[in-house]
Amino acid sequence: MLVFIIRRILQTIPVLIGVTFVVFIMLHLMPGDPAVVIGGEAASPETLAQIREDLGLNDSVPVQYFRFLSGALRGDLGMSMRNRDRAVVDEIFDARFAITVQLAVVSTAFSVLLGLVIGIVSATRKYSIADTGLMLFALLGLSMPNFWLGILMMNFFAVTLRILPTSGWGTWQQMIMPVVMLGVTGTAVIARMTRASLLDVLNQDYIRTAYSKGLAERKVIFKHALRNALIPVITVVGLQFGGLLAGAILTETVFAINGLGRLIVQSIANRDFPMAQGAILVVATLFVLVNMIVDITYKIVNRRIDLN
Amino acid sequence: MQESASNTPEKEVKVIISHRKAVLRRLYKNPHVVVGATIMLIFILMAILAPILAPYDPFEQVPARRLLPPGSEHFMGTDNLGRDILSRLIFGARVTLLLSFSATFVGGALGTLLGLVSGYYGGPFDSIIMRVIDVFLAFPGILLALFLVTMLGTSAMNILIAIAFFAVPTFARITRGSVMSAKKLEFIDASRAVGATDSRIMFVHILPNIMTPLIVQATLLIATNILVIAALSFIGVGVQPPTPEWGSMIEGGREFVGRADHIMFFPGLFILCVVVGINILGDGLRDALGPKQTK
Repeated sequence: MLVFIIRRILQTIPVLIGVTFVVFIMLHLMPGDPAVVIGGEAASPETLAQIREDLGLNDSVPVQYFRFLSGALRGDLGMSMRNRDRAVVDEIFDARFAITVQLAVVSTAFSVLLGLVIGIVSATRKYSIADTGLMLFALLGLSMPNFWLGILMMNFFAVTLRILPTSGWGTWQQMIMPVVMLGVTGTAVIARMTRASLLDVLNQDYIRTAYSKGLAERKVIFKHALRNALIPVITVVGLQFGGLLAGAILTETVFAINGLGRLIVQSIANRDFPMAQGAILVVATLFVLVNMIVDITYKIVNRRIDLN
Repeated sequence: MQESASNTPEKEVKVIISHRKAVLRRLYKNPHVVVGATIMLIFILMAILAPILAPYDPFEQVPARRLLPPGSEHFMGTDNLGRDILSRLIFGARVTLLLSFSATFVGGALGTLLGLVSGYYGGPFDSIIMRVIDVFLAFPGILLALFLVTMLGTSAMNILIAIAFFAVPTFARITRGSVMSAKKLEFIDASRAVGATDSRIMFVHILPNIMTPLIVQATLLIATNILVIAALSFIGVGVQPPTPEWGSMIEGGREFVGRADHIMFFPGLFILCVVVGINILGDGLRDALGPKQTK
């Protein structure tokens, strides 16, 4: 087990290095001259040359990459291009990081709770009206453009009924709509997964044995079946969390939440390369780490998988 | 002896045909496949017949008819520039379907090829490909597409490239896994023994045998791609106005929410319907084609 955990952690390192390389090279290839962004269109050639020199843009690409990598490892992602006194790391971690992580964590909790309930109810009442209705609901959740749902909710609850605030993040009232919008896909996926997985398990012999020795249904499901049925669900939850980080881009845009997602969209629009680079790097790193933790958890929960 | 030898190829052909028939029958008999395929077909026909079906010119702006609610003349109302929303939605089906189908095809084919070669040969080539794929899987979905479109610029071709790009890792992974188990089967050894080349074994013997999970994945990916295309347009890096595209129509209607909800409501409803149809089809294919294709 320990060997597996250590190996899984070591495997993450080359992936993370690859991620820094991809992020670096992609923004390097972006159209638009960073010197012009900083100096303005009217800047003289001398000023532009000076800015390029300051930013180290005259160095070869490998040199620039290793400078970026060693900076990133020391927690230095450069300065914003729009506001040259603002360090990228400060902008990301002072406020935005926490907001996006909160948004993703609360949405995941929402999806897991609601998804499990729906999945369990559906599986235990297979082919009933409740099952059909809930699975239809899950299918709609899976197929809906969530930003559309976000705007519809905003229109109904904030504009028409005036019971929820239209935008922002912080109070619990402000959290409801973004969390529902971001969590709806995950809820649907987890509900479908739980149902399928639980139905699989309920067909197995040991469950029949449990019933035949006279255990109550509640006990069979919660003590025997669910424990095994949840194993595949864990992987889905991990993947969902990563998806949420990306989905946060849309949610934060709809509800004007100043998190990492909105930062990425805004800094790409402003051609603030270091800022976009930093934010994307942080999101991708977080995603890799979450997947690592999920894999390890999966292993601990499911000891039947052989080590390979 | 001789007789039976000359009979064998004929028998084989028969077996293949009846296998195909059996698969088709399973597809016809699966209600999910039928319902899903019908919904998808309706949208495909709508895209093809757009010029005939659309009641108005999707680009024509009539200032006197701005922000009209749904009514008898404009079934789904008009937008802030006085354009007929239904006509724009019908033409929008062309953009969305063409982009999502072609991106799925391009990305899926490329990913399948990579996975096939990688899983078949194994070794250092396989390790390198898989590590690169791990890196790309570290960028959650839309982020990679957003990134690529920003880098390349917002043309339809670039959106196609960006969306196709993120299909590659998933397909490569699935194909590689299936190839690794398929290449251990006896008939592969047999065909190698009679002198089949590597590429013949890969494309003629292995690929047809691992198509089921790929077809299911491709179907579900078309649905995902439709949502991603709409999302990219919604944040302004997708299909650019005035081209009628469902996601950018939602974005365009956003500021009129509360006054003219229909502008953003109907495009979302269209997306929902087509994606529901494709997801139902995907579920049905999974049930009908594989004895047990649980994900």
